[in-house]
Amino acid sequence: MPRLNLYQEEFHPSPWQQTWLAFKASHIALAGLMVLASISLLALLAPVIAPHSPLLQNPDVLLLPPVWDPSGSLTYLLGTDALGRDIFSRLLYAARTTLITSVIVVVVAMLIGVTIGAIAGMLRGVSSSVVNHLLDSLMAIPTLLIAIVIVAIMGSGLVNSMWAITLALIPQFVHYTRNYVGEEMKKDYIRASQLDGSTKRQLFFYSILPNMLEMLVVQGTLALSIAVLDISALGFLNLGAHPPSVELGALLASSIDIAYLAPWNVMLPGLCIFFLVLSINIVGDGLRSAIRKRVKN
Amino acid sequence: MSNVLTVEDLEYRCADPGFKLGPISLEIARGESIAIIGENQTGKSLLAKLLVGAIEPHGGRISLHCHDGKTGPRDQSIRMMFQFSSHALNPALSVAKILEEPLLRNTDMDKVSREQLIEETLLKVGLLREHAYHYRHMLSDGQQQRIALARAIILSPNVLVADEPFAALDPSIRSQTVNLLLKLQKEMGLSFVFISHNLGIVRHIADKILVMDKGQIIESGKTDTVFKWPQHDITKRLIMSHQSLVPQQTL
Repeated sequence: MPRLNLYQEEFHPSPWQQTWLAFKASHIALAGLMVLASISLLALLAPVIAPHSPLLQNPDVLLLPPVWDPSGSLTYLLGTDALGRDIFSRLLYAARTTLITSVIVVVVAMLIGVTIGAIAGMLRGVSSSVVNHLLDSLMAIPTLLIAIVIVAIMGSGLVNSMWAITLALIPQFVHYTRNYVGEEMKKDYIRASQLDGSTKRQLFFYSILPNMLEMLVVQGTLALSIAVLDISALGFLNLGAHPPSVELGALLASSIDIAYLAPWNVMLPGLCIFFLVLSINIVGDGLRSAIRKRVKN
Repeated sequence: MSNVLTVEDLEYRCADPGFKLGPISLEIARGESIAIIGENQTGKSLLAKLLVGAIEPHGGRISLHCHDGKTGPRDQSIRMMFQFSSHALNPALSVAKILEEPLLRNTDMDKVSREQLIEETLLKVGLLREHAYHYRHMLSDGQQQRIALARAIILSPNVLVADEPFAALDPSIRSQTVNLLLKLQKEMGLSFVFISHNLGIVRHIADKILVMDKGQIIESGKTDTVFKWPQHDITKRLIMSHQSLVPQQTL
C-alpha cells in the first residue's frame, strides 16, 4: 500500500511519539534526561576518555587535590587518592561498572518478572492468587535487605550481588505485570481478539504487550534507580565488587577513612551516585506523567 | 431462503441463581435482519455473546451452515460488533494492525494480499486507506464504529451479530451507519442480528423481531406483525412507549 499523503498539514503522532511530545514539554524531565545521557555516555566511553589507568599507582602524587585547588594539577583532573591513583579515571570506570551491571540486573529481572507476571495474570483462580499474595508479602521487604540476605547465603562478590539484586527486583515486575495483564484481560478488545481465534500466547504478544511497553519503561527506570543504589550500597558494605574492580559504592567505602584528610575522595563518588539516581528518577517520573497525560487525552 | 444459523435449546445459567437464559431456539435465514428487543437485564447481550461463542453455553446446540450446507468454522462465519466499539479497538495498535489480526489468525494470506484486503474493506465501510495508519484515539466515534464494522466483515462472514450498534451515535452518524449496514447486507448477503432499544430503527431495518424477557424469548415474528398486533404485555408496553414518542401520522 503506497503511503498517500492526503492531509499534508496534519500530524498524527503514534502513541510513542505522543509520549515523547508530552515528555519533551517538561523542562525538568528533559534536563534529567540530558544529565542521564551525559553520565551514561561518559561511563560507556570510559576506556577512551580516561587519561590514566584506574589501577595505576603514582607514589609521587598521593592525595593530590582537584584541579580547582591552588595545589592541584591538570594531569590529575579530580586529584588522586591515598595510593596515587587518578580519581577522574577511577570515577569513570566505577560509573561504567555500576551502570552496566544495573542495566543487566534490571533487564534480567524484567524478563523473568514479566514472564511470571503474564502467566499469573492470564490464569484465574487459586494458582493466580497464591502467586499474588506470596509476592505481595515479598514486596513489603526492602530490596536491599533481601539482597543482603541472599549475598550472605551465596557469598560476596560483584556477580553474586548482581544475582541477589535481580532476585530482589523480580517481585515488583511480577506484581505490576500481573495486575496490568489481569486488568487488560477484562477489556473488550481482548474479547474481540479472542473471537478472532487468538491463543493466550498470541493475546499477550500481539494485543497486551504493545499496551504494556510504556508501563514497563516506567517500571524499568524506577527499578534502575533502585538497582544503582543497591549495587552501590552492597559495594559500600564490602559485599559487592571487590578491590581490583572499581565500583562507585566500593570507591566511596575505600576512601571513607581519609574523609577528613582528602574530602574530595568521598565527595566525588557520592555526587556521582547522587546525580545518577536523581536523573534516573526524574526521567522515570517525567515518563510517568507523560504517559498519564497521553492516556487522559 | 436457506438457514445460516440454527440454535436449539440454548441454555445458560448465571452465577446469580435468579437468572437463567433459555432454553432458546431460533433460526436465521440468509440475508435476514433480526432485531432483539426487550428491557434492560433480560439477557439480550448474553444471548449475543453466546451466539458468537464469546461465552460457552451450558446446554443446547448452535450450528452454522456455510454456503454448501456444511458446518463451517465459527470464527469466519459469525462475527460480532461490540456495544462500545471504542473499547473493542486496541489503543496501542494502528488500524491496519487491528484489521490484520483476524486475517493472521484465520487465513493463510500473504502480506500483500492482506494489505490489499484491508484497504478494500476500509473503502467498503466508507473510510480512506490512510486510516490504516491511524490509532484509536485519532478517530471520531463514527469512524471507530466503522473500523469495528470493518473488522467484523473483513472475513466475509455469513452472520453479523451487533450489540446495540447504534446506541452511542448521534442521529446523523446513526443513519449513516444504518444505511452502510443495509448496503453491505445487500452486497454481501449478510444475516444481521442486532440488539437495539431504538424501535424506529428496528422497524426500519428488521425483518423479524425477537422480544426477550427474563432470559426467554416471549414473542417473535415479522416486524410488521409484532408492531401492529403485539401479543405479550411487555411487547405491548415497549411498542406503546415507542408510539407515544412518534407523531401518529408517520406510523
